[in-house]
Amino acid sequence: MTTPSKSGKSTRQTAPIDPLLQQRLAQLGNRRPGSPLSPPKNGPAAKPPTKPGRRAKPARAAKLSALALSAVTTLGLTVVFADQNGQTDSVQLTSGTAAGSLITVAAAPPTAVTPAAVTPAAVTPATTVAPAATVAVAAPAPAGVVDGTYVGGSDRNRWGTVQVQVVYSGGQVADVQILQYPNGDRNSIRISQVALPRLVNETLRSQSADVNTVSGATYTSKSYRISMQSAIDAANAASGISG
Amino acid sequence: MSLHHVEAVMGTSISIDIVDSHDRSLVEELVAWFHEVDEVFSPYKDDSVISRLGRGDLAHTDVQVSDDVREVLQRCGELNEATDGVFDVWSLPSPNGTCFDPCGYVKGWSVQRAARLLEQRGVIDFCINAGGDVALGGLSGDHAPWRVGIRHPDDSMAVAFVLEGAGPLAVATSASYERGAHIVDPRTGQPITELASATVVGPDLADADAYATVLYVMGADGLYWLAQQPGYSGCVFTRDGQLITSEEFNFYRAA
Repeated sequence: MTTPSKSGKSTRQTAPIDPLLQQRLAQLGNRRPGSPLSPPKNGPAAKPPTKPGRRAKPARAAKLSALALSAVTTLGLTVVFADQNGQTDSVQLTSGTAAGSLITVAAAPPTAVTPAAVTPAAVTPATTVAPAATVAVAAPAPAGVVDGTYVGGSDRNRWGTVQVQVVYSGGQVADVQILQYPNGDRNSIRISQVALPRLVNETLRSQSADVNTVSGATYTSKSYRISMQSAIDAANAASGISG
Repeated sequence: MSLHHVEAVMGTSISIDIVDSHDRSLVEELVAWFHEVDEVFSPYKDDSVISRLGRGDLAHTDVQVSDDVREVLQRCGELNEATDGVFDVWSLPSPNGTCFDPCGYVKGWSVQRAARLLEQRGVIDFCINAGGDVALGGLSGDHAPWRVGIRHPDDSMAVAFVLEGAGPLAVATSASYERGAHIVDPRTGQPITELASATVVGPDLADADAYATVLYVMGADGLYWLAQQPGYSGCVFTRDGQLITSEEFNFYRAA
């Protein structure tokens, strides 16, 4: 492990460094890094398939912790603070890091960028591995769908039945209404109330998405997509659009 | 005309986009592959090779263990070494009741294999997204770089920022926002509490996916480790709402 001291990263704007940030930087160095700072070795063959209770090596961890601390002292940082009025202050500290990389720290307000989902990436609720059912995606509506309300098929999942209807206006999905959702036991009610409104939002907002795809799982449920897709299929069929 | 398909398989949904193609057999080939992976690697299936390995009914040297399984075991072992135990598929609570669960590697690995299969078929421009882990080839449909939104950790409806790039490119995110604290530190068995999410960009999704898990477990410090993996860079969201990125990662960020 080497610590090349890279110098000459200049200060972009001078502003006092937030004491909280300094505290955080100190913590960054004090925490266990838990990782070798040496490059990965091409390890030996696979481990035997059962191997309970592996633990880290404490001595190594302590040594690495010290290394990380020294790395932090030569850290290059850009810091951007955004306050609630949207004003930003930017600070860049100087010099290099252990890995020669600059770390940028920024406050991260949830910017209202368009969401998820050209392709809604689903997480099947804690069930087992998904069945073989193919779900063509709830793609943005192709132009030319005749305005109207299209009812999707109902789909049963372990919590009950989900059925939606889709309202098209001006060739676009204007609304998605839940006709049926599981409400048997308390758990189902909670799931329905939290999950379904989010799904509706996702479908509506995805039509203006300016991204091709999204990394990081987004909330969908299979039953919802199946019902949604059949409503879209119905809309397309009624409008003479194939596929 | 482009192909678009979503398949519910492997406990997630996998979307496949192939730009400028009518050849549905490409999609069918990928779908068949993912179902094969599910059969062999699912820890939810008692008779899968992985479950049998986990219970000790099969030894990894057994003839019934395919080259694919061996490759996964081999790479998981290498990653375990390279991360000093941070990446450890042998110490995780598995749905099949054992402590062997390689899912954290298999998802990215299987998508990367699917991407390679498309390349072998002469496909240049494609996007495969498996539950938020993305493998990209070439350019998007409008001949522009792919734009990959990174989900905001606090709002499943919002994209925190956008990455832009041409394939081959992989983007993987590890987080616990969907299923509670489902990522634990294999060294302590404790759930991860420092970070909300960790994202890794690099050339290969098998490694990017594993590195995202490693970064998530290591915390912000892991960015130093990641910077030593050639071609890979990343960012983390802390639970208190800060975004910390490696310098190389910013290269991919869209203005």
